[in-house]
Amino acid sequence: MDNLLCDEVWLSKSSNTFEEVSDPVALKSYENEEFEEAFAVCLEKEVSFLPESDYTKYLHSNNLIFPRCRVIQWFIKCRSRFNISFGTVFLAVNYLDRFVSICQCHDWEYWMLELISIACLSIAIKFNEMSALSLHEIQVENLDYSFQSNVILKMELILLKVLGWRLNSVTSFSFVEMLSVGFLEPHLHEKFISRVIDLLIQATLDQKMLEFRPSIVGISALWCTLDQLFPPKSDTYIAYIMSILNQSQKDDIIKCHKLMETQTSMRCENHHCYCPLSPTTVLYIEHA
Amino acid sequence: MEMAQVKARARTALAMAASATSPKRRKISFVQIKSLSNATSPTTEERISGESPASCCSSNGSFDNENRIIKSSDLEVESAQVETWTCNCGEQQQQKIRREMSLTREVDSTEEHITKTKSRCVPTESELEDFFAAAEKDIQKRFTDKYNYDFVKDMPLEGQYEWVKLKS
Repeated sequence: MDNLLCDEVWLSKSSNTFEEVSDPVALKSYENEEFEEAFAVCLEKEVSFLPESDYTKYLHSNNLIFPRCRVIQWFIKCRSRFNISFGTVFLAVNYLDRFVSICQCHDWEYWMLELISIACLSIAIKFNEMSALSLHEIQVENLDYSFQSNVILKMELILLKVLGWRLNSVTSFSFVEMLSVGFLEPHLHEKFISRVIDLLIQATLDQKMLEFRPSIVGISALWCTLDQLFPPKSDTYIAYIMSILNQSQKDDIIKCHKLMETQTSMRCENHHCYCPLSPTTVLYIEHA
Repeated sequence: MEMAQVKARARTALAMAASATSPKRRKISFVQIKSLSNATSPTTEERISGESPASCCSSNGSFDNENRIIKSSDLEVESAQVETWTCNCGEQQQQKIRREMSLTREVDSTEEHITKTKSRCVPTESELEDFFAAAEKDIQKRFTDKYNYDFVKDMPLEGQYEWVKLKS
């Protein structure tokens, strides 16, 4: 996918400049027919990797909003501990959401969600990373339950069947990677991307964001970060992206962007990392 | 004062993404642990019911901006802490640490009790079998619905496909 974009060298006046001057020539690299085709393919493809419709309602009615947050936080901790890529985390979240929305249990219990999550992360790692983790290693910490390897393997097989063996999901991270290639010089890119990823993770944990597609969330995160770090470039770039989207997509992005900005400013005051803004504590009743 | 300086230095190092040697990294972890231990002693009960270590660090006014900048790095530090503490502490302490290290805010007494009694539980064999059986049944049903064909009874059902029997 990277090879679809042309290489252009940025003419930077100073490598120390934090905020770059707007350079209309450099932005030309986006007005590219090949890029637009690739982007359109991704937009088309993401539809088939979404959870079922009304997924948010389903989570609410089954008291799964908070447990979902907990297991996603576990993904995030595993990412740090095992040096997994963020792409893998977003894949695992996608598998989890698709499975839960498709395979609708009558009585959800937290151990089920943990078991599914272990399977999701394990498969995402095998799919997206260079080396796998043993099923013992992956359960090393931050879980309430432990499972034998054969149980996890069985869960993995069921997960694969439910997902139709379709694992190469288009996630919000996919869009961010695609849309940010060649956009900035390397030393600025790193900082930019880590901010965007932070927003994506917040969005993943936020139930209000669940109604938006990955592409909408990804573009909104880019928009917020551009506004914050590179204001002069933001308007031009967003205007270009909007020009290749339809009206309902534009409306969604504006809505999502506004929500993301609100959540971000609220979060700064709270000083909490990766916490859901409206948590609900769920107490499970033990089945005698 | 000295502790504050060390902490500031650690923050700066993290902020600049300096490549640390392993002795240096270990030192940072040690400082963090000591700091947390000091914080825990006087107000243990308050901390357990209140903020997580991450919140404690971020609530320090003088490091506000730096904390924001290195937010992504915090998880690395926390991971290092977990590793070190796991080696040194007993089972009881490990459980406590796990609760404290949790990124969620909802650590009330009831949930704490549940977590304590259910630490590393294993679901029963029958629970697992029921769960798997329900999932398998669901898969089969979706497959049947998709092709409107009952594969068990070997007969077509009403749906989008029209099934024509081939003469053998």
